[in-house]
Amino acid sequence: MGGVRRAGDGRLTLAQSRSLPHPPAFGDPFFAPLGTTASGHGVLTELVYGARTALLVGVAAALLASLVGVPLGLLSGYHGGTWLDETIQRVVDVLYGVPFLPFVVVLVAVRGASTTNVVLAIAATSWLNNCVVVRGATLSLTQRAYVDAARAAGLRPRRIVARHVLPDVLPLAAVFLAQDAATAILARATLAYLGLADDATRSWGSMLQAVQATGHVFDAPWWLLPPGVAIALLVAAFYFVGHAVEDVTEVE
Amino acid sequence: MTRFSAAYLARRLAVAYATLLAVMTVLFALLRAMPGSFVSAMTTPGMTAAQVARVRAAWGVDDPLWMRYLRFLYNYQTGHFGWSPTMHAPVAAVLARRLPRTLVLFGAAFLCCYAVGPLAGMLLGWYRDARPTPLALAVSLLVYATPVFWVAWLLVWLFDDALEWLPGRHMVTQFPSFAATPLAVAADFLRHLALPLLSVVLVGWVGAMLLVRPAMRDAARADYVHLARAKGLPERTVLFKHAGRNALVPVTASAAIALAFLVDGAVVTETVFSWPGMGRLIVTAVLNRDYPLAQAAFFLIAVLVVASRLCLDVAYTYLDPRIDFGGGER
Repeated sequence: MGGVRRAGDGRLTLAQSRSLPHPPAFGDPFFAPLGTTASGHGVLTELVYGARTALLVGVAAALLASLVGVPLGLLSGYHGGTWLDETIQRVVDVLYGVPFLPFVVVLVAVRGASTTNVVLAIAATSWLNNCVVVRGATLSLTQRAYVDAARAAGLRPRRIVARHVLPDVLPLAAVFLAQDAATAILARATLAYLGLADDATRSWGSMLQAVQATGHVFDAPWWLLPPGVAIALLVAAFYFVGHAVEDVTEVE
Repeated sequence: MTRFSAAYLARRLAVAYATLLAVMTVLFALLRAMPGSFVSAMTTPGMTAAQVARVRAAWGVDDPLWMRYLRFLYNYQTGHFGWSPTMHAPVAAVLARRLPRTLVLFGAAFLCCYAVGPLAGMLLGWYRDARPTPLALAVSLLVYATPVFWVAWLLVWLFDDALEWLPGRHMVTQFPSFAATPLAVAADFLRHLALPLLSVVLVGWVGAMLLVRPAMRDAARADYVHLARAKGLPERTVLFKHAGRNALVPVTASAAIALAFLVDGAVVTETVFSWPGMGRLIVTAVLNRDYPLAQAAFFLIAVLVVASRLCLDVAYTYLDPRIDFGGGER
């Protein structure tokens, strides 16, 4: 890789640090506890602002995916074996045949690389898992005696689903909500790496992309490591939440 | 009820064919919705209006949409994939050159992931109450949460830049100084394969592990496992032969979907390592507005995914006798 290699411990002289752009540095005389980037910004500052984007993308995409996937899964599972179920499942099958990341790349290329569009594109592809899993759970729940009892009592399907099926499906939906948030954050970082993210928004993915674009992958560890660690920690946190929910609600 | 019959196979084939047609429709609509046209990349400002019109007519971009759609369906089903305007070569030839490279890298990665992952999942599910299990699970989830391209950079940094043990770019040495004997070329290729493979497997095995672990946890409580223990069978036999084989069923079911996720990995990994395969091709084709190439690449991946799902569903009827395929597909 290119980039400017500095001799010694990487500290800048005062003359160097006065003029911008200067090479990214650790132990910069400016207030930048984690060092600076190639454009002279503090790594810590960018890291803090990047958290905002990551949380927004993760939570928004996961909520959207659940709002589409869970109702369709409930519908498909409750009316299992009917034309409605078949139609929904064929749509899911078709979308499973389209690879996720290239599909998102096309969607983002069609609609532009704003954060909203990235969230929409990720949600448009990640509701499939929610739908399939909720359908499976609903199918087995509707075989239970209490659902038969509710049906025999003359309740309408909508009320049976809302009051008797949905509460048992919710823990599973929560697990997938957390997992969707995790995959959405990773997908956003990957899109930023491929150059398909909004340049105006600070994010961990675009920090990593900037490290590569300015050619400092191998000589600025203080800049390369924090965004990756931050992504890993946040995504792992969502995975942990998912697994904790799974463990708590697991029927022994 | 026969679980496997010609009628079942015929119905599965019909569904697979219909799925492919639908995927083609989605592809066509999506790629036509993108702004701009690849013809603008083939014309220059110096061309006269008549010349531009001739290029547009030759590529048929001014025809009505339904005509282009029908032509697309007809051409693809008769094996005509057209010409790539940015690669200046037939699309089929470009894909035929690129696909094997991706298959080598990700075939190897697939095998490694599915050798390590299920084994780890069996152990973590079986010894679920052991003290190191939560720690091992936490570490593997943390590994699973790292962006693949970042891990790849760290590996290249360590093994190529710092230690200089393994090459971190390209598929073969660009200007080799060694004699091109088959053995030397193969060794060179394997050295270039090592880092991409390592970075995919390092993150990828966790997916398979997460599928096997819950199944194994359930199996550890099952009656047949208690019976096997009561018979006095050694613990290893109970673990791998009795519980393990049952826990592998969900992995088989999800392997086709995992294949689609490997394509995502291909896009990123191939970009990091300058590996000239399908993943990088599909992204550059989309970004360069090379529709003929992009839609053919998408189509090829869709065919692979649909075909492998079909094969797995059929294989499934043999693998798991408990599953009844009599009525519907699933």
